[in-house]
Amino acid sequence: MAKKKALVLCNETLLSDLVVFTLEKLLCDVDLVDNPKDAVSKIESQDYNIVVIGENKGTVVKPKLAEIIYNKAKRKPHIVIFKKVGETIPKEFYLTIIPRPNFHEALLEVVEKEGAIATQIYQMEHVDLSNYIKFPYFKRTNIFNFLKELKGNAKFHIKSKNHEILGFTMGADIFILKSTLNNIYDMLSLNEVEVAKETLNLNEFLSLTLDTKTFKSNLRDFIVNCINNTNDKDLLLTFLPKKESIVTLKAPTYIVRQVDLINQNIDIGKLQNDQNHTTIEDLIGTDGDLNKIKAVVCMYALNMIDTEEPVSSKKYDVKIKKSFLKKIIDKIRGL
Amino acid sequence: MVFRIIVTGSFNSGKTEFIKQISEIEPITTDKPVTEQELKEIKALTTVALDFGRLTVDEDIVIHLYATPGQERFDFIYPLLLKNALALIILGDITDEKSIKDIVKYYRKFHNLKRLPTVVALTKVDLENKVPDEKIEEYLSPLPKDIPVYRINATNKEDVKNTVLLALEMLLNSEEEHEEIV
Repeated sequence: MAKKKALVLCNETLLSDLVVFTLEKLLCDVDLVDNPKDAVSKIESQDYNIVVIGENKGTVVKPKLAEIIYNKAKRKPHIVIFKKVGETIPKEFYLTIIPRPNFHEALLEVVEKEGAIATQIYQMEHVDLSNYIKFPYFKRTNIFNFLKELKGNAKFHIKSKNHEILGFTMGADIFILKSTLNNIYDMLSLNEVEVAKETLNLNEFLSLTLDTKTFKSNLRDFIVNCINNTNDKDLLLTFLPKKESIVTLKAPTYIVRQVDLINQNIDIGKLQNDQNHTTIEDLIGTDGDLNKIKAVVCMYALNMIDTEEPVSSKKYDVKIKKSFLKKIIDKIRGL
Repeated sequence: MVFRIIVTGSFNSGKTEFIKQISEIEPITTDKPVTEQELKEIKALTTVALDFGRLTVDEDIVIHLYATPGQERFDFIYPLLLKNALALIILGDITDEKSIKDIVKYYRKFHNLKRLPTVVALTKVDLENKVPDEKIEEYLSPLPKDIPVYRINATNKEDVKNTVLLALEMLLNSEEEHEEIV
């Protein structure tokens, strides 16, 4: 019987050895890789009958990785995914989903109980951050504006007087590879910083060696937590436009309500009904309640609201956007 | 988004005609026969609640034009009208001294409730028996000097447009100004 070819993508040392051993016993030639980039280049250059996807150094979720591998393969393989508890893997005709084997961990525990030290196989690798940004052009900016404008698929290097942060975004997630802050959510306290940014392409992302210690968060949650962790009212207010600025809700209300900090402190329904009449001051109150300020800063940072300075606040008690007023004047002129 | 332009002035100053000129709908009027004997001699019908006109700017912006009743017993309605108001036009009949004298009264009444860009328009300029200029100047002298006084015919669309535009441009240009209203 002709041997089949298998590709195993797994960076769990003991488990990958066990899988390779098992497949070889089942008459397969097996190649082992630990990161998605190598897996993709293998699948593009060789024909495999089976691909096994386990935990690996990449950050792409397993079903997405399976889809990439399946689409890139010249000869379409059958793909096995080791599903961890809590993972959601949609069914596909080319997929077989099996629970991630863990008997070896139980065995390991027994061995360790008997005095053997086997922990070296779980050591984490460290990310090489030299030349992380290939063409570092540092630009002075406010850390809040940096976060507000941060988009997906970007590498960044932030420097301030005493601190340094390196990270990247991929899709809706942010990863922090290095931070000298005790708490990464204290980021806003850096205020003025120098930032170098670069686009992160998929190949580079796939080759990034990330371990379980790498900080990862949904970008929106990250920004909310940074704001929530900042209790300096005056600092928070510096992030907002003028208090008299008129606020327009841009995001759908159900999205805005998903953020507890906003939902618990701002009457979203009222804001929607009073579009173009509500000012920042109306939202935060004249006394400037800290939680309300945080909520408005959140909405502003997450681009859920538009703000526009009113035409006049000194001479007349009228609040209207300049753009609206110009439209009205043009309309009447044209009558 | 609905904004309002308020047109006020004394009885028979031409408020209903004024909003007719720029409303895209036939104004909804609440005219009733005049009951006060002396006023009956001047006109048969008067506005008892509000005249309402509308001007659609685009799908997001609509202007509601309100002509308020001239009689004092309807004063209660003014505060209700002022929400979202952009401008105040005060009309006075140029042939009627009392109507011109009342302009200051109307200005103060509204200014105490909300500071709006305001234009005074003296109507019926096509009529002969106008109040002399020096008297007009005297009656209007208590008004702040930056309130323009315009002479119009309330049945002339261009006059009406220019009056409203003047008020809105005051608002538009007010950013650079720092004068205080007296």
